[in-house]
Amino acid sequence: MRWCDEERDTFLEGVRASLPLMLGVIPFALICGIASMDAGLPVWQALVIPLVIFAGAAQLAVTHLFVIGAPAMVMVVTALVINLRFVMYSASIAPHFRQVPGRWRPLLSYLLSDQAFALSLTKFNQREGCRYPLAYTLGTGVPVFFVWHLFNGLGVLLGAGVPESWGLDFGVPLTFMALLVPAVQDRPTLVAALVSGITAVGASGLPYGLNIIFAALLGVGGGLLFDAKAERRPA
Amino acid sequence: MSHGLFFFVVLLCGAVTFSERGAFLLFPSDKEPHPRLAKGLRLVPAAVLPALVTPALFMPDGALDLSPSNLRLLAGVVALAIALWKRSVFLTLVSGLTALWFFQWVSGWL
Repeated sequence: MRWCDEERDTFLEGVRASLPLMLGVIPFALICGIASMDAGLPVWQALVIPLVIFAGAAQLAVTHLFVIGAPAMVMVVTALVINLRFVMYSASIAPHFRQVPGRWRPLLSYLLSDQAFALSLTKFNQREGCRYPLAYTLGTGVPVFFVWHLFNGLGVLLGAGVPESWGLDFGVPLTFMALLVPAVQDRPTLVAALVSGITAVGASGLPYGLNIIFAALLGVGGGLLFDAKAERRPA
Repeated sequence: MSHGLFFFVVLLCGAVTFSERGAFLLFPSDKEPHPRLAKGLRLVPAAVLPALVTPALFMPDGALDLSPSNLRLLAGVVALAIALWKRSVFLTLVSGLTALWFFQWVSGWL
């Protein structure tokens, strides 16, 4: 790998762009580490699982399913559904990486976190564009990776020491709430969010945390239905 | 489930996640998602995240609790207001947790 100066500058530009987002990454990673210890996982698993999954929301959900004794199938399908958003990221960012050689693509795919995606697409869609999209996206993705594992590790260290009365587990739904707000952009996404939120509570009687999958699918269905109706209406 | 089996499931989840991220990236191509698929995918984040939020707010102890003694619901409303206003993960977390501690402190006095 030989990068020209301009590529290196682009990489560093990505690094700098990612720094403010660490305010959201750090507490999320801490909570993941603490949740792993609360779930009674061995320390090596608490450190290796985020390397394997590298997606906080899915990791937290799967860890929760482990605690309530859900079957393996439900865990895998829940992770699949929660991470379906990455398929959307992948599709919308791929046109910018047409020139990227195959050997970089596994790393690029692995590092495509919410943060790296959001920063990259914003940059690529600017009028001046970006000459080295690979360098930029890696620049945003690499710091997220290291900060994530550093603070997950710190969470693992703290894990057992944090008293339950602090209610730090409440940070998990709060994080999702903060991520939800920018995801609601128009009426169809609002309908999807409302249907999902109500269904998750209404269907909580379903065994093994299946209410999450059910709520997500019904939410997408509701949003699509609303979308189709809105299109048929004359503008 | 044993820790060993759980780790095996985690490996599967990791493979699934990697495939999802790589769906259109892993191999260079010009293919684009079918328009209907693209429409559905666009809705996914908004349809997944609330399902991870509402049970924790409305049923913290496993049963629906809409009373004012449900401190997590009260703190969640505060956090949502901050999330809508500031659009910051950090401030949402800080305000929600601070609100929860405050309500716990107040209810300790009542």
